[in-house]
Amino acid sequence: MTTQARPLTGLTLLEVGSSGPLALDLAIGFCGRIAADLGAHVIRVAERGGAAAQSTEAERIFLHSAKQNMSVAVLQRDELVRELAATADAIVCDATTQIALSSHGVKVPIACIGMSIDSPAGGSEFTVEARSGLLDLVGDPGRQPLRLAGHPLAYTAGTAIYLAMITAILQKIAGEAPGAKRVDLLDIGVWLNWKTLGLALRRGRIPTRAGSASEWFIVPCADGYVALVYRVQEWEALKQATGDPRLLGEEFSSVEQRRAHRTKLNVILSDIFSRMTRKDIRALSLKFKLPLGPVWTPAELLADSHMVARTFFHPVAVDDRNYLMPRLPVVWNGAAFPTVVKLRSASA
Amino acid sequence: MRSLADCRVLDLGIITAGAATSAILADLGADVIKIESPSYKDPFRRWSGQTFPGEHPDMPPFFRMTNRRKWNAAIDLKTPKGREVFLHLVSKSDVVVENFSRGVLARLNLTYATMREANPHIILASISSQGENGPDERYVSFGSTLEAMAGLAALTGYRDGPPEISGVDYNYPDQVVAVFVASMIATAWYARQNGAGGAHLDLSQRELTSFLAGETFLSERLLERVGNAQAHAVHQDCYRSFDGVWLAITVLEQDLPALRKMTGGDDEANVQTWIATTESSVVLKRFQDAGIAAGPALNGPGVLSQREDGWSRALGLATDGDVVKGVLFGDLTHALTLPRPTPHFAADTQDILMRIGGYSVEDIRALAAEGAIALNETKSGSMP
Repeated sequence: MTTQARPLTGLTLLEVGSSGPLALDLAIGFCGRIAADLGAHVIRVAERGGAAAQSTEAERIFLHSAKQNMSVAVLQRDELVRELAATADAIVCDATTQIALSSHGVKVPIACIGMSIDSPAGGSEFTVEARSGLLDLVGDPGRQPLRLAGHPLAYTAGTAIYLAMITAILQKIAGEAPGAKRVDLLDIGVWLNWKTLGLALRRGRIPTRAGSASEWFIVPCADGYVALVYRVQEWEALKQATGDPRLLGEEFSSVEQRRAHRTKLNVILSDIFSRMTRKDIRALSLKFKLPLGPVWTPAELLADSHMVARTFFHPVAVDDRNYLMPRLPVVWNGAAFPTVVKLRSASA
Repeated sequence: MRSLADCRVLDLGIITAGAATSAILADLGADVIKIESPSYKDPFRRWSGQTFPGEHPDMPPFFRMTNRRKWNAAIDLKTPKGREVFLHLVSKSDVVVENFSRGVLARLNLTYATMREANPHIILASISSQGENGPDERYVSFGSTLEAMAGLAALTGYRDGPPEISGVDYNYPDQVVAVFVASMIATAWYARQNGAGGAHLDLSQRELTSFLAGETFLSERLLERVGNAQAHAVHQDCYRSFDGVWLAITVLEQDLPALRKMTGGDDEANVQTWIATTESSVVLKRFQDAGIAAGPALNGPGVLSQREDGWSRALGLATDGDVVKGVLFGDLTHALTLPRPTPHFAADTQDILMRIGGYSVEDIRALAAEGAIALNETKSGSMP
């Protein structure tokens, strides 16, 4: 991949770490990570012992390595933020900080985040996932609702903050007075869950977790697991690819029939794929254009041939320790934007 | 919000990932023209779920929810004339969004190179499962395929169970990609304003899914499935209350004194027993009073009941009163206008070709007669 000027080169972003729930700090940090990889000079000011102290070392390296990090006592933080705001092109912060900055007459484009309308600084990423209906969709119906690993909600919100920030900058360039932009974690969760709400509003089927009776589900294969993902248009290819006569029966001949006999169908599919390796399933999917998903672990992906071919991971050194850092997932005119490490210490 | 007010987008996006990206750009003020082919309409029209009584079979709710605030023009890109019309529109536009299977645009000879010949400043966002190169380039996927292939599913699941995916109703990677791609297009637009010229954005959904769990690749310990636990919380899980409601609880180290006072202990068994013998409303009130994070695990109707109290922007109303996708963020000083409803197939072909392409009525009739475009009597509404 070639070199390419980074699109945000010359832009200074002031990232103010949150003292509220960790989810806010992670979302703000994710926004700053995107901006830094795109070439912005990101100055992160965080309260010593604030929310970031709850995050893991891996999270801090992932989010903050490419930033100029300033960790200060709470009493110094507000004054430092106001001072740095004077020379920044944009600010990202939590809703509480945004109100304070506005009261001091700061006019720089601001994108901020709160947890929800009724509790801007209360709850956790997990409880907001619950309120947005996302937990209800994952897991087994006989067991507790389940969250997706990582920070799917906080990082989606962080991406939305980034979009809000760029929007504010574009408005300023266009000569408009950009109002402060506000993202709310609960609204983002509900936005992600739009299909459930679209059906619930129209009094249709109300989606909920269905476990092994789900349309898409995970089954063991010879050396791990595979996600059996397909829709009506892939059914013929699935039959052809597996060549199993049990799928030819009348009871699976239409979408309605397959829905009515889903449990039996899923048992047959489980049996078919139990004898294949993930490598076999990958080859089969490529050959028959099937959207089946071999389950790879993060450790396996570091050496995955496709990820390697696209240089998705690149070596970085933080505090004399070496890591393989995932790069920003965009290739821009043929060029990737590897993280340029500025972090001197992985501590909060 | 008019940050993309002068930006014209040709939307070849289909299903969720591409179509929702362009919908976000429309929210930011872009003039978005959804282009569908008479020989290949957006498949979301036919298999996106239920259509309810009185609804047009080509316009199911999920399609209407995603394609609001756009125009619709029907151009058959497989015909030489249709391709020519499209490239002429490219010369008058700023952004093209596409998420076809890899190889489709190349077969139509509509690559970035050909689009750049028509317009050196064009920004092409190519959204794909795996990216523009690599051994898995031709892999097809839905969102949950990528959860498996990107490392997310391996870490999602009960402690004693198999990996889990978000599934067909959530399909997390297909939702979040639209936010990320719209962000990258807005960035390319910003860069273009600073003299950067056009750009080809190669966006792999699999890479995005991995990036959204980026810290897992940096962890020095072996990661495993841990149910609902997260590193920063002492206890975090869903517990069923006496009245059968699943309640999500996050207990931090600093919450333990209050938890002990409330439940008589600070281990997980105490929490579980106390909640199992207490009404959900009481549990939530007591946790709230103690400053401990707690919330009900709601289903669709439950989430809707919190509209305006807990959330407000995620769903919106189109000008015809149809409930559609809302916006990602609020502008604390600017009001957002209601979106136009999703247009019918080919509703605006003639208007678009005249307004943007400069074609005459006679040209348009001739193009329609030879099948390069399709026309429809149903108009979207007045042009801006």
